[in-house]
Amino acid sequence: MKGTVAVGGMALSQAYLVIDRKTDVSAYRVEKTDEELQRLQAASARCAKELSALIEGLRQDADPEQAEILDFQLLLLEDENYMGQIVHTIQKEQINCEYAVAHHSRLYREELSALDNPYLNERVADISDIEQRLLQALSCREKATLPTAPVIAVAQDLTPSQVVELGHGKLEGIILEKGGLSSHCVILARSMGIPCIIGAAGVLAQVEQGMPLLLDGETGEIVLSPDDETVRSYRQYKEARRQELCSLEQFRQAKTMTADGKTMKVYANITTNLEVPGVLEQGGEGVGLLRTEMLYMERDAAPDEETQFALYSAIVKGLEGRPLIIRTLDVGGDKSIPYLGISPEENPFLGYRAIRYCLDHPEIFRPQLAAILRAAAFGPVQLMLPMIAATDEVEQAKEAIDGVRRELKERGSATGPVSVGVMMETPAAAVMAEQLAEMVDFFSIGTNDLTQYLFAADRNNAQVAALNSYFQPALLRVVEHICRCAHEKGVEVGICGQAGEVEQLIPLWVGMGVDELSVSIPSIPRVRRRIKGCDTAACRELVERVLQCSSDTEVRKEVERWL
Amino acid sequence: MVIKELQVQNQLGFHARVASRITRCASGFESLVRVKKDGKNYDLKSVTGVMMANAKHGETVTVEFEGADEQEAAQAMEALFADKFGER
Repeated sequence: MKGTVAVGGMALSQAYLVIDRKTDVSAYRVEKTDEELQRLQAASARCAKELSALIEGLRQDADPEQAEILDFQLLLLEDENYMGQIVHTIQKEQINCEYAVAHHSRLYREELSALDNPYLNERVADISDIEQRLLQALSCREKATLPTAPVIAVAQDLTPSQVVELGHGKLEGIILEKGGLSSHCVILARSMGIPCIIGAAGVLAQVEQGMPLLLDGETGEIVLSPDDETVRSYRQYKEARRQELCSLEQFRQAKTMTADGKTMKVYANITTNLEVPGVLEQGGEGVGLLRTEMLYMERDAAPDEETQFALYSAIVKGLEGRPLIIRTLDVGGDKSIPYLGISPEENPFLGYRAIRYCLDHPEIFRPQLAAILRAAAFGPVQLMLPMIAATDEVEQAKEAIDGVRRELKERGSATGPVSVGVMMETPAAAVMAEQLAEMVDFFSIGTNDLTQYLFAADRNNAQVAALNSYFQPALLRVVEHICRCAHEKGVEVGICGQAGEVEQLIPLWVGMGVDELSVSIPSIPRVRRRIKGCDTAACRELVERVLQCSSDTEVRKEVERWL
Repeated sequence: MVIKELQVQNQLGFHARVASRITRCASGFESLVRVKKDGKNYDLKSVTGVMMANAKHGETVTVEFEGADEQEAAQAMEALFADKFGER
C-alpha cells in the first residue's frame, strides 16, 4: 500500500486508529419519556463541558475567533428553538433522543441553507458538528483513550489539536487517507519531525487497531505486519538515525559560529504558534519567516486585527526575546482564499498575488500591519514584504505602515519598533538590490520562488525540474549580487528558502556572507553543525570558483569536492 | 415596551459570531428581546432566532424590549449595534 510522502523518515509501531463512527439514528418508541429526557439532559451537559474546555484551550492558543465559533455551538445547546424542539418531539411522539436530535438537526440545516446569506448557509457545518457531539455523548462512548505506548496514527484526517494531543513522544508516524501537503496537520508533523504519509486511500479498511505497521517516508510505502527482514532493516535505519541525533545534540543549543569564529544565525520557518516550543527545543535563534497565509485560510472572512494581534503577540512572547520576522499576507499563486475574491488566473504565479493584492486592499492589509506593530510592543519584530518587484511597491507599503502607526498612536494602542525588509524572490528585485537596499533594513532571499522566476520554470512541473536547481550558476550569481549590494549598504541578508538548508550549499552561503539561514525546525542543529565546519576564507575561495562555473554539473562537482 | 430602530453596520451582517454576541447580550437581561421583521418575531435570546432574522449589512431592524429591565437591555443592544458587534 502506498501514499504520498508529506514528511520524510521511517517509523515502525502499532497502528492507532482515529475514527469517527456514525451512530444509529433510527427511530424507536420509548415508554418512559422522562428517562429519555434525562438521557438527553446528561448528553447535553457533557457536550457543554467538552465545548467549554475546548473554548478555553482555544482562547489560550490565541485563536479567539475559532473560540467564538464554538461558543455558537454552546449556545445551540441552550437554544429554545433547537433543543426546545428536540425535547418537544421526544415528549410528544414518545420517541428516542437519537432520532429527535438527527431529525431536528436536519430540519434546521435545511432552514439555514434556504436563507439568502452565504455566511449563514455555511453554518450548517456547526449544526452537523453539534449533532455529532450529541449523538456521541448519547451513545455513552467515552472519547478514545490516548495511547500509552508509541503509535502510528491512522485516520481520514487529523486536526492540529489531535496531533498536539497525541503528542511528541507517543506519535511516531501519521498516515492519512486524505490530507494535503500544506494542511495544518502536515505542517505540524513536519515541524515536530514526525514522518507522515498522506493520500493513502483505503488504509483504514485494511489496518486493524494495534496492528504492527511500517511507514516508509522515503518511498511512501506502508507495510502491514512487516516481516522479520523488514523489521531488521528498520532497526538499522533507526540506529543510524539515533547516532545522527546524538552527534547533533551538541549543536542544538550552541551559538552559531563558523570554524574561524564568525557568528551567523540559524532561524526557523514557521506557520503557527504551535511550532514555537519546537523552535526553542531545537535551538532556533529566532524565526526568519512566519508565514501568515494559514491564518487567513479555513475561514469565512479575513481575521480581524484582534485575532491577528493575539496570535502574533503570543508568538513574540513565546520566543522570549528572539527576533520574529513576520511576512505579510502572501496570497495568490497556489494559495487561493475564496473570500478575497481573486478571480482564477491563467498564470497565478505571475498574477495578482501578495503585495500586489495587499496594496490594493487596505481593508485586508491595514489590520495586519496594525497587529504586527502592536505585537512588537512585546519583543523584537521585523516586517517582511513578499513578492516585491519594484521600488514603488516598497514606498507604498512603507507609507501604509506609517499611516497605520499614526492611527494606532491616535487610538492610544501601544506599539514597538519594527524594521522593514523585503523578500528577494523576483529577478527584478534582485537586479535592483542596490536601490532596494537604500530603502529597507533587511533582505530575505526566497530561493524557491527566485529560482522558478529566474529560470521561468514552474516548480510544480516535473518536466522542467532540472532547470529548477539551486546548483545553477545563474542562481548563485544572483544570490551573490544580492549579498554584495546588501553588505555595501549595511543591510542584513538572510535565506528563507529550501536552499538555505541544503548541506552542500551552506559553504557558499557562508562564503557570500549571508547573515542568517532560516530553515525547517528539525534541520536547525544540522545546519548549525555544517556552518561550524566552514572556514570563511576557504568558503570565499569556493564561491569565487563556483561563480566561474558554467553549468549546474560543474557547480555540483566543485561543492562536492570541497566537502 | 421600548422599541429601537437599529442599523446593522458590520460588513457581514448577522453571521455566526455576531449571533453569539447578540444572544449573549440579550440573555443578560430579564426582558423579552425580539426583532420584528416581515411580520415575524425573532427571539434574540436564541442564537437560532438571531440567525433566522438574517439581517444584512446596512439593514435597519426593529427591536422590541419588554420587561422590568427593558431600558437597560435597549441601551446595551444599541451599544452593541453601534460597536458593529465588536468587528472592524
